[in-house]
Amino acid sequence: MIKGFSIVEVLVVLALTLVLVSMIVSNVMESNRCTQKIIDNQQRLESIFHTVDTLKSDLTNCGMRLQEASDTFGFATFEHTDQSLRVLYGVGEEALLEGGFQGEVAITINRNEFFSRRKEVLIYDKERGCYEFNRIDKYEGDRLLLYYELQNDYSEYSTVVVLKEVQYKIYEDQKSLKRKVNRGYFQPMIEEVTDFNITYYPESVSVLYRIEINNKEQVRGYIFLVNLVEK
Amino acid sequence: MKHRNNSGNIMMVILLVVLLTFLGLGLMSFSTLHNWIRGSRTHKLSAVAKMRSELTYYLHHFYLEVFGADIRDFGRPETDFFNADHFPDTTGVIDHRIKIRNSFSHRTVPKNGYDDIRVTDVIDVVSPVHPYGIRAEVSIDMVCGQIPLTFFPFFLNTAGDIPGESFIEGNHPVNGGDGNMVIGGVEVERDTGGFLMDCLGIQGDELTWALIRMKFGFELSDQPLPNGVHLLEEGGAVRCIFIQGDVERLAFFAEGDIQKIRFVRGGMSYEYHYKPGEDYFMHWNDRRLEDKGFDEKILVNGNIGSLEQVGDAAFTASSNITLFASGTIVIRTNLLAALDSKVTLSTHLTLLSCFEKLFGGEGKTPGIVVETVHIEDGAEIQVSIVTDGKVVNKNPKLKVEGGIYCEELENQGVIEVNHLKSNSGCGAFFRTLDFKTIYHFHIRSMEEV
Repeated sequence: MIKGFSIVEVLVVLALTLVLVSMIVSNVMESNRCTQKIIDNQQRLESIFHTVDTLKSDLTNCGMRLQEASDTFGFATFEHTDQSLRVLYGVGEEALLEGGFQGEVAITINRNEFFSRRKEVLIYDKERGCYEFNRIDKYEGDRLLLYYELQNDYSEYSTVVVLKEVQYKIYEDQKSLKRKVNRGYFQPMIEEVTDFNITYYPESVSVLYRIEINNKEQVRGYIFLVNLVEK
Repeated sequence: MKHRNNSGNIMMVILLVVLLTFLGLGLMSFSTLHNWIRGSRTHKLSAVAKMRSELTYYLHHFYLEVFGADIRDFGRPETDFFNADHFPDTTGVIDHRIKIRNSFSHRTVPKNGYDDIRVTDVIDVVSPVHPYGIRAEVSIDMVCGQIPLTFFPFFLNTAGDIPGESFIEGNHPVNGGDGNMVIGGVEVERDTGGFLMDCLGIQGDELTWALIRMKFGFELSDQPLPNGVHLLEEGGAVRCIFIQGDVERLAFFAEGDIQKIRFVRGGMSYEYHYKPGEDYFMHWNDRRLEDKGFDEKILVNGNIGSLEQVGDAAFTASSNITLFASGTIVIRTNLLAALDSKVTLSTHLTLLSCFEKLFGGEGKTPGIVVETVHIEDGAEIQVSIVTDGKVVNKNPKLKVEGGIYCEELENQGVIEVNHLKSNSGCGAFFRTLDFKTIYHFHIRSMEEV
């Protein structure tokens, strides 16, 4: 006679197994959830760090190499609304080695790594009181060719600055803070942003920024715009 | 069978152990990596912040050193002062391990009688214990030589040596823009005769009435020109307008691109219209001088009782008028240029009130008085002023877009000067002797490298 399990024994074993399996599954799921949460938090923290570092770096650089030109010609290197920001600064600077003339596209400067193709440039002559924005096309020997013809005459030692324009903007529908450099597209910096706020204090040449994530965490900081201070 | 079953269980256990080990190591390495990133970031931030503080402190020190020294003591300040002897490599104040290094370079642009020199100092802040660094680029602009007196925002050239700071506190000239105020005795060249001869196109060593009369077509004598308004036409242009005797009113007004000037003297009114830089010149009697331009020089041998603006603007955007008076000029209204999209970098009127022995006489004291009426917000004048007499401000608030050179100041309010240079050619006749001054100190960049 083959001995077997009674139906009660099978049900008890099945029930115990079910309980054990459900405990294990729930534990594993909880553990996974925790792990995911930790990973998410760490990633969010990394993107907050990255965003704040980038924002601070852009704000610190704001106006760099453009103090004289913006002072003389009155164009803004820092503009903001409550929820967007635009900074302009120079990443490289050279003086014209020869005069440049209206209608020409070639200028002569000392070559350096900042003056590369498609970079936006500002050319200004404080003595003559003229300036213009242009773009680098390519080098031809020692001459730098521009995309557009010069609109003014420039004397020797006029200044040419390679520009970097950075914009920040919050996309409320996407809950995303995005950053755009020069002519590029707005690229997401950080997700789940519920508020981005910029306040400028002209008397102390400083900026208070605030980034709010998920209506909970807030990152705020106060930055002194060192490159906008003249003396 | 039993043996195979045991073997299977062991394999399962080993697989489980290996899996757990990988999971554990993965989690550990992830956390370690994360902690390492956080640690590095914190480390870098703190190191960079420390270097930035050191740099800021050093820049302040550098600024004080630069402006604390009198660069006139150096023959060639661009190399004799801005060098490693005066600014040696140093260490941080808070962290002595931090090194601060200066690298100087300069370029010189020769101008008419003087040099415009830019010294660039690249300041590197580095630490032997970190791979990071901060770099600042500072430019110092200075002029050396015979500098036009209109180059300075405010220049009080007194005979005695007076302390500049206490003078500024007591007399309220405020520098609202570029450049530095100069207060004290400085050797200058004021060649009024040479300036007048240049305006009148007279060659020779000394200005005489005979030469002036000859220029205007009068019979030769040592008598002054007859009282009145005289026009000097020469070389296809109206070289200057010369007025002998006091002027009761002199008004400037702009209509589009036409500059208008009206004189009132002896109850008579004279009006001239012209387009700066173009061959268009019209008399008060509607006589148009075809194909004649105007050199925009007005010479008055006498006092100007009221210098005024009529309408919204005194000057067109292209005007560049030089007005000389041997006596006192009294400014009674605002003197503003027409708004234009072009950036205004120079003044449209240069006022000169200087002594010339040929023009001297009783009742003629060089000087400029600003006494505007009916202007509640304070007066605003866009002029470059040069006088070897006194500047008197009777307004509670006066804004000068241009510059002031004088030898005495009586200020009954506050004068705010925002410097604009003068494009008048008078700088060749009214200038310093060997003078040196720093007019710009710019921190052009501060960045991590």
